[in-house]
Amino acid sequence: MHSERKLVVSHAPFWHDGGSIAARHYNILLAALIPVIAGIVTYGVPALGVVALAVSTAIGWEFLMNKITRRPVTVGDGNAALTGLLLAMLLPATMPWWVVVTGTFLAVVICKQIFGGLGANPFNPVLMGTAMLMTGWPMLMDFNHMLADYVTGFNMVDPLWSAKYFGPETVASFTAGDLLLGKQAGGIGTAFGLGIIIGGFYLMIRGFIRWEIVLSFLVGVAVTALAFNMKNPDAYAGPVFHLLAGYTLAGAVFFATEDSSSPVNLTPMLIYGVGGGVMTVLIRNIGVYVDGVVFAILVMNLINPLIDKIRPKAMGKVA
Amino acid sequence: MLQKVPEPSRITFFVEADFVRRDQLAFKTGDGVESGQKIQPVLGNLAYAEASLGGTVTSVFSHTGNFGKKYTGITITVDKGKTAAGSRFQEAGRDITIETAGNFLRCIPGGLPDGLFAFADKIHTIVIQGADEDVLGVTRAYTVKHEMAALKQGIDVLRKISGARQIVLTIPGAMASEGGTAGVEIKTLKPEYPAANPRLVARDCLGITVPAGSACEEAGICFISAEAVASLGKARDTGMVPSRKMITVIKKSGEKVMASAVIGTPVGDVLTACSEKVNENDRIVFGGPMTGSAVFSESHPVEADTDIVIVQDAGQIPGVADRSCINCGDCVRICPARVPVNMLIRYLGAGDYATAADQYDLLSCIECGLCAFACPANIPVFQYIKLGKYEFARHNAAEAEHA
Repeated sequence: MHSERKLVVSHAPFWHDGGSIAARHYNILLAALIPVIAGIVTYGVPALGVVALAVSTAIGWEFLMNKITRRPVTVGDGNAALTGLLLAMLLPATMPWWVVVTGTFLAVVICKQIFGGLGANPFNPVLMGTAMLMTGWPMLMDFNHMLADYVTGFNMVDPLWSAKYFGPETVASFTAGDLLLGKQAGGIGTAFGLGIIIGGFYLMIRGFIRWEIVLSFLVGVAVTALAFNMKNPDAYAGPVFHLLAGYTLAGAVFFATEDSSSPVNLTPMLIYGVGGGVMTVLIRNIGVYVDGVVFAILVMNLINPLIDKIRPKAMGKVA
Repeated sequence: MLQKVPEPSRITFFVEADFVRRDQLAFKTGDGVESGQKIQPVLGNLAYAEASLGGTVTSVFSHTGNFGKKYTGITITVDKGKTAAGSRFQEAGRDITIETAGNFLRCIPGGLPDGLFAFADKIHTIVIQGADEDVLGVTRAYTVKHEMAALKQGIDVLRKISGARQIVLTIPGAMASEGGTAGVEIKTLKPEYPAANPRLVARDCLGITVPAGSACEEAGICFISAEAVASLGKARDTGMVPSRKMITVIKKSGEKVMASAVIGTPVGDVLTACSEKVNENDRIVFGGPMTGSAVFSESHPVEADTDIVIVQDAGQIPGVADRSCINCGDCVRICPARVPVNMLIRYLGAGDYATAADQYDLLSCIECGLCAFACPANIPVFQYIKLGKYEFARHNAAEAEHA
């Protein structure tokens, strides 16, 4: 007779690849830090203040909601911190503190926790929060207005605004290299294109974001911008400008790829990405907003459940 | 290296038959059993085990397996004196027919699938699996490598007893030369999990997609492990039902040992023979790491189809979590059957098994476990799916009964 030691009994599989939600979020956080740190270098202490406040209040709201709804505390999975950081990315460095706190409240509480928390949000919480700030306090989301006092050594004008209202020749001084290196007025973490690209490659290679969405989004932007540019080069800027200015790169890497609000099947991912890219340029060129990324991705979030029904037939499925 | 596990002092058999009252039992404590004797413990139920050793019955008990499967367990204290009085199989003669195989050989090492008998007239193709279905296992490959003579004999028997037009042997890609001498059509499998899954073999090697929700045998394909075929060959050759089962034992260190144990041997004896020590809160898994099942006792016996035994140290056990799906899509991209796992898990979590089956392809799942392996939220996806299939079938059966 064997001694009856207590053994652990559970269900297969008995192995796991070791991935975790926390690892996913911390890696995205790490990638987002590259452009954010570049923004802090450019804009100094105010930018650092916005980032620190956004991250800490986002964590605070999540903790508070966990307590109020009597659910397990999910702060450790990194999603709240990531939400805060990504929101700060999109804001101008001089954003008043109360807008930052409101923004994280909208993102974490209204746009995520109320729907049931991580994975249940139908829209990207950060973009939803940003959209509310953009419509609620348009002046505070205007980079020309907010960053007017900065002397940085480069043309401190929002390139998208300039191109939209005064034609692409007014932004001819912005070379692709300038835009890549962050020499443009914009959000704390959205100006330094090269940093976003490096972070994006890291995330795509590690599988934390889906490359299909990133690439198809950029293709959508480039093709639409090219079409407008070819039709009327005096009124519409070219594809390279649209790819590197404003929120485009950040949108492709950090926002269109949000797990819960984006599709997982191949064809839907391509439709979603291209659709978002096309919509972005449509809003920029013929819409009322200077940058279309936020609303374009939110619209694609809206149709995500519908398009994600396009999927290959499962094996052995009859009819 | 082959580790021969000594004959145990006690053997146990689980027979798939439920008993409700003691007076339904054909055996009681104290009864003598001879080696080779057919044990049909529940009166009126044809399910049986074959005593691999003789001795005295010390207990007959009811055992519930995964998903409520009912078994009758019978434990025999081995008495070396009670050996081989000759089984009825021997009397039936060496000319094995489908009836004698069904009557005496279902529990040979490797195990013959029920479908071979239930769908005997439908089966046109027999696939002999020389590759283990789960990762780490080498039990079947070992048979192909070391018991080719018996395997050939078994193929001969299969050819005679089944109406199959086609017999195919699947082997791991790296063993192409070993399989060549079997005298049947050879299909090599890709060296990646889950290439040896029966439904994937049917699709990729035979070009037949088995409809979701129906058994492979219904589509005319019967899968038999190479070890079972070799056992068939040995049974015809010797007139005795072989009793030793080959097992791939995987120790905590990851070291692999091939062991040979009498069917019914407590797994604790096997591990002792392989000098592996089991501690409190460790895990013993029958079957592979992806699809096996954990047992709660070291007394759990080696069964006819136990190909792999794994011991995991308490510290190596990954946990599962009560989290919701974050829709990352890792499961969808890894699924070889193209099941929309991300949507499926929502309906399974809500207990809506009918929608899960009708719209989200629950029944297409080939049960490889990759979804749960890759899930960053550590959701026990595979467990949800198995439960969903079980509940869906139970519900349908109940409806059919009351229709």
